[in-house]
Amino acid sequence: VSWAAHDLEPYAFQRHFRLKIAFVPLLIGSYSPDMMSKWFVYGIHLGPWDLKAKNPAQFHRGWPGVGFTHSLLFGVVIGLLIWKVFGSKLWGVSFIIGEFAHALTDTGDTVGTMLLFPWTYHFHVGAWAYAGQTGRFTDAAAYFSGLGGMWDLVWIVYGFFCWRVLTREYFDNVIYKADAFWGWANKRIPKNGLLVLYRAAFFYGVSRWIAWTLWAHVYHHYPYDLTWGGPHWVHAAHP
Amino acid sequence: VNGPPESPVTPRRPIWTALLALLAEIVDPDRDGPLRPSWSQLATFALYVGCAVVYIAIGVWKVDFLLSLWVSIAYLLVTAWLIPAGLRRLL
Repeated sequence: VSWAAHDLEPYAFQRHFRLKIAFVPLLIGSYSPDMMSKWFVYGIHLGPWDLKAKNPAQFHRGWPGVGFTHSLLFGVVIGLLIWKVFGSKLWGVSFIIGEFAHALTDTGDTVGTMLLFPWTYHFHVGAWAYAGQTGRFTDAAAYFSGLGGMWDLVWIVYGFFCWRVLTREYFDNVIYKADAFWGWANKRIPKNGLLVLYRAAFFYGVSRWIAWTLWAHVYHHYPYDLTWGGPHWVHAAHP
Repeated sequence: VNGPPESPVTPRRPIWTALLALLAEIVDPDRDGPLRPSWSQLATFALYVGCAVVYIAIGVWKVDFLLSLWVSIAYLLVTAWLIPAGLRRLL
């Protein structure tokens, strides 16, 4: 599980691909593998019912389950569908790049992803513990106590290093020009509002990284464990 | 007999400056503008920092606030766009 990396990676990719990709589908692609499944991994209460996967790690990343959403094939299929349905190669390719980034990033934990689905082998680096099965709050505490949180920090530092990607000039000259979506949106929302929308995912990623870190280590005093596969005070799931 | 012309002495850059420049070349090779932000850009950054401080404070107090991207988008639209735009119109 990665928390802030999926918010921040699209800005780095956009910086390097510039006019060749569109930001909105890139971001949607980056979020897409978890869009429909994360709530069922952590579980929700609906009146008297508790809805949660019996085996969250298996459901989230495995097969049977929805683990195929973290495969390269899923990105290509949905990207091709976007290309055909909306007639935009740019949107299709941008979605694929975003989805690939998510699938590759999530190989960093102990469960990993079935990158080459339908081959069901889980590619995993095992750098940080997958603790989605423990619920949202323990997962957050574990993630922001191990190397996963540090990996997010790399993207934050990188983002600030390439700060011009967040400027109005960059938005006007690259983001807006690269994708007709922004012109369409500009008929409904003034450009200043669009600029705020463009920056929102970066704001969200950085702010919640700081907030969860404070919550875990200042408010709750969970111990840091930056060893490989940690933190080891939480039960890590494996494929 | 005239010796070889003396080469001009170039001041040595601190190591951290050189490393920063090297890092800039590696991660941001096609940078297309000044590396130093303008006052206007710093003012915008300060606005977002202010928004982030409040967002983080609310989030640590009520963590449910941190869970939704949509909540953060709505929050940012209000605090970084609508309120400043309203204030500019009033002043």
